[in-house]
Amino acid sequence: MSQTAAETNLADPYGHDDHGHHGHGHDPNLAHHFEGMDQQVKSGKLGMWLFLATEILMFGGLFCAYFVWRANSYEQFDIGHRYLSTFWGAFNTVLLLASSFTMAWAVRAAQLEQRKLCVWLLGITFVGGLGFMGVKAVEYGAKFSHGMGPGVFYKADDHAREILDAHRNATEDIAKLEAGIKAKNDQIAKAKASGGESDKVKSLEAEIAADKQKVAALKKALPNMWQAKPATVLDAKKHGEVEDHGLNVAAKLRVGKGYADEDKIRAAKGLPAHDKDDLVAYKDEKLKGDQQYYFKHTPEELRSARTFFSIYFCLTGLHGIHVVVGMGLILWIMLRAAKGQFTATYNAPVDLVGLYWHLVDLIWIFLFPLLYLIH
Amino acid sequence: MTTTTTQPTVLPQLPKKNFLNCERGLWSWLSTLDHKRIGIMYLIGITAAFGIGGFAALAVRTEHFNGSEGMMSADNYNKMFTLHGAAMVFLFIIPGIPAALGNFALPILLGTKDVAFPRLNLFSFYLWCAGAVFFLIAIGMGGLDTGWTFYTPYSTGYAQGGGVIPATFGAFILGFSSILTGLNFIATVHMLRAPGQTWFKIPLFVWGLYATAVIQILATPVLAITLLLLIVEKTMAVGIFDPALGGDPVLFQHFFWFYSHPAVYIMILPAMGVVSELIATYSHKPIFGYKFIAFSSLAIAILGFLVWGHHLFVSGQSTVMGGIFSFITMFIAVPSAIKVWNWLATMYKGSISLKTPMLYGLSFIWVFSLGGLTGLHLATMVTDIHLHDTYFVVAHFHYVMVGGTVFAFLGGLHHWWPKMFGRMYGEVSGVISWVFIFVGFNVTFFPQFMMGSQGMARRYWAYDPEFTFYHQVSSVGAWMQAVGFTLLLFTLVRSIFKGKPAPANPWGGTTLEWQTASPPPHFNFEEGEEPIAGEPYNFDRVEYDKEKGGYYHKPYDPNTEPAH
Repeated sequence: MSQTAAETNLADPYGHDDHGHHGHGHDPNLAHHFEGMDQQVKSGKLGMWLFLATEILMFGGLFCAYFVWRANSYEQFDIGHRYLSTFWGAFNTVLLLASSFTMAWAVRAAQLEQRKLCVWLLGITFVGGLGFMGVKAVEYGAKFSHGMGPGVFYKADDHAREILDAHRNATEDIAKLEAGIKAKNDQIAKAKASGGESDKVKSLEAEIAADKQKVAALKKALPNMWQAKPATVLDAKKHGEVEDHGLNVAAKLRVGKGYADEDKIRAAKGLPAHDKDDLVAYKDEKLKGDQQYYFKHTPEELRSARTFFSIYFCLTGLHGIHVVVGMGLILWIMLRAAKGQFTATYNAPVDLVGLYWHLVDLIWIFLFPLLYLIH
Repeated sequence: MTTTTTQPTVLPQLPKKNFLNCERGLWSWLSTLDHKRIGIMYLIGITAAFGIGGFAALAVRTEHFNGSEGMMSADNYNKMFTLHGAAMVFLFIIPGIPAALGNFALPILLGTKDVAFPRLNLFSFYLWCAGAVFFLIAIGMGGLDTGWTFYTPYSTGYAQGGGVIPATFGAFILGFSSILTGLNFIATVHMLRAPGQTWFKIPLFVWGLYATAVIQILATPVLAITLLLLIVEKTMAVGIFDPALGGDPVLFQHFFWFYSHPAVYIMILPAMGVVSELIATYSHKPIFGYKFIAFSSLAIAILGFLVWGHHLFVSGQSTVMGGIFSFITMFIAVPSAIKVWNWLATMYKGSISLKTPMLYGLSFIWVFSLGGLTGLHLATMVTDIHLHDTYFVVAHFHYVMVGGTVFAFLGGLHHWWPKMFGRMYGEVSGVISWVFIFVGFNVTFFPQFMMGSQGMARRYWAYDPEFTFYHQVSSVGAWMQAVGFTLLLFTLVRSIFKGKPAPANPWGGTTLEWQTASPPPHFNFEEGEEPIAGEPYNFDRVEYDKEKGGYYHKPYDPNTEPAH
C-alpha cells in the first residue's frame, strides 16, 4: 500500500485534484471526462431528471396502494380524514410553495452571481422546510397521543371503547345512586310517619347528601367525558338508508356539519332521529372548537379506519424523509454559496438541488388533497 | 484529427501503463473512479455471489437425488432454495451483465473516457456490497424460507427464521445500486459518445444496455417501495397486505411482478446485446438488421411493463385481465423472434470461427429459443393453470435465465477477457468447460420440463417415486455444471498469470474497444488517439496480421465510409 507521492498523483488523475491533465481543464470544476462545461451541466441535469423519474415511480407505488385501498374500503378514508387538521395541512402547503419560490429565486441569484442574495434565499428555503417539519412533528405527536399511530401504534378504537365504557358505567352509577336516594327518602318518610328512630333518619340523610354529591360530580364529569358529535353518511349507510337518500342526500351528508343536518334530513324522510348511543366523542381540553371532541365515531368505525392512518404515515413519512434530505442538501449548497463557489458558469449544484426541492413540493401538492381534503 | 497510423496497432507485449498497473495497492482499487476497475470489482463480487447461489443449487439438487431420504430437513431445504433464488437473482444475474461487463465495456464502446458520473458509479458498487452484506446478515439470523419472491402473507406472518427483514432490506439497497447504474448508463449514452457516433452507430450491446437502463429506472423504484411496505407491514402490522385489516395480499404480487417481470428483461436484454456482438464478431460479417435488433430491444423494454399479470393467472384475478395479459405476453415473442432471426441471418454465409465465446453465443440462441417457446405454454391461460408452480416453470425460466443470460454473460466474459487483463485464456480448456456447462445445463433442466408437465410441483421437499428418475438425471446434470464452472474459473484465473499476452484485437472485432490496447490505458484511449466512430460493424476495416497474431484496424476513412 506504500505509494510514492508521484504515484499517488498519477493514481488519482480524476477528481481529487480537479485540474485536468488533458489540456481542456480550464474550469477547475470541469471533470476530466467531459469535453466542456456545457456537456457537464447537461449530463448533470439529465441525471437529475432521471433520478426524479425514479422518485415519482417510488411514490407512485405508494399512491397506487392508496387508490387500491380507497377503492376497496372507502369508509375508512371518510372516517380517517376527519381527524386531520385541514388548517395545518393548508399551512404546510403554503409553506412549501413559498419555499419553492425562494428556491427558484436562489437558482436565478446563483446564475447572476448575487452571492449574498443567494445565501439569504437558500436560508429562507431551509427555514420553510424546517417549519414544515415542525408542523408535521406537532401533527404526528397529536396523532400518537390520541392513539392514531400507524399499525401497532393504532389504539384509537380501544381508547374510544374505554371512554364509551366509562361513560356507560358512570350513567349506570348515576341511575343507581338516584334510585338509592329515592329509596332512602322513602325510608325516611316511613320512619317519620312511624315516629322515633331519629338516629336512623339522621344517618340516612347524611348518606343521601353524600350520594347527591357523588351524582353531582359524575354529572359534571359526564359531558367532559363524551359528547355526541358529527355523524357521517356512513352511519346512514350502516343503518341501510343510503339507498333511500340517494346520491344527492349522500353528497349533502358528506358536506353536512353533523348530526343536526342529518337528523333534519332523516326527519324530512320520516325516519327516526339518529341513534346517538353508539357514538363516542372524547373531549380534549387542549384542543379548540370542533377539534375538541376527538373521537367522533363508534369504536367499530374507528377500528376500520386503522389502515387510513397507516397509509397516512407511510405517505407523509416517506415524504418527510425527502424533505429532511432536501434540507440537508440546501444547507450544503448554502455553505458553498457562502464560500463563493458558484459562478455564472458553475452553478449546477444549486440548479439540481432546486429541481429536487420542487419535486418534494410537488409530491406534497398531491398528498394534501388526497389525505386532508377529499372524502 | 485522426492520427492515421498505417502501422498495426497490435502490441505483442503488455503496454507499459494501463488501467491495471497505472496505480497500485488495494486502496487504489477500493477508491477508484475508473469504470473498468469498478467493472472488475463487480465481476469479483458477482462471482462470489454466484458461488454461494451455485452451492445452494447443488445442495438442493443433491437433496433431490435421494428423494425424501436426503440430507436436509424440510425447513433447511426451504431455506436453501430461497438462498439459491435470492442470491442468484438479486446479487448475481441482475447486476451481472450491466454492472460487470457493461461497466467495463460501455464507455470504451462509446469511445469515451468514463461513464457520465464516475463517483456515482463507485457508490453503486458499494451499495451492491451493502446489499450483499444484508443478505449475509439474513443468513446469519436464521435464513428465510419464503422463496425469492417474498410473497405475503407468508413472509409477513409465517416465515421461519429471522432473515426476512434483512433480506428484503438488502434487496431494497441492491435496487438502488441497479437504479443508479441504469441512470449513469443512460446519461452516458446520451451525453458521451465518440465523434461521429450517431444513435445508429452505437454497438448493439450499448442498445441492449440502454433498453435495460430504461427498465432499471422505471421498474426498480416500485420494487423499492414494495419491499419497504413489506418491512413496515412485518414490523408494525400496518395492514397493507393483510386482509384481516382491510389490506390485500394479492396487491403485493401485483407490485412485486410490476418490477420483477420487467426485471426478467433487465436480465435478458443486455444478454441479447452481448450475443449480437458475439454473433457479428465471430461470423466476421456485419450484423443483419441492425435497426431491427436495436428497436426490438426497446420494444421488449416497453412491452415488458405490460405483462406482469401473467404471474397471477391463478391468483383470482379476472379472466378478462388474464386474457389481456396473456395476449400482450405472447406479443413479446415478436421482438424476441426478430432478434433470433437476425442473428441467424447474420451467420448465414458468414465466416464463422467457433471460439469459446461464439460457442456460448450459439448455445444462447438454441437454449433461449427453447426457453422462449416454452414460455408460450405459460402465457396461455388454459395451459398455465395446469403448469403453474410446477417444474415446467422452473425449467422454463432456467432455460431463459441460465441458458440465456448466464451463457451470454460467459460468452461476453471470454470475449472481453483479453481486453480486461491483456491475456488470452486457454482456448482448449475454455471449450472443454463449455461442453460441461452446456451439456450439464440441458441434462439438468430438460428433465424438469418433463416432470413438470407430469405434475411435479416446484419447491417441494419430497416427491412421488415416479419422479425419481427425472430428479436423479437432473442432479447429475447439476454436478456436470459444477465441474464445468470450476474448470472455467480455473481457466480464466490461470490465464491472468500464465496466459499469452493478448493483442489489441484478438477476435477481429470492429467496435471501438478493439481499437485500443489490451488492457486499455487509464483513459481508455491514448491521448491524441481518441477514436472517430464509423459504422460499428464494418469488417472491411479489420485485417488479420499473421506475424503479430492479431487483427488491426485500418483507420477511419470518411471517403470510403460516408457518415450517415
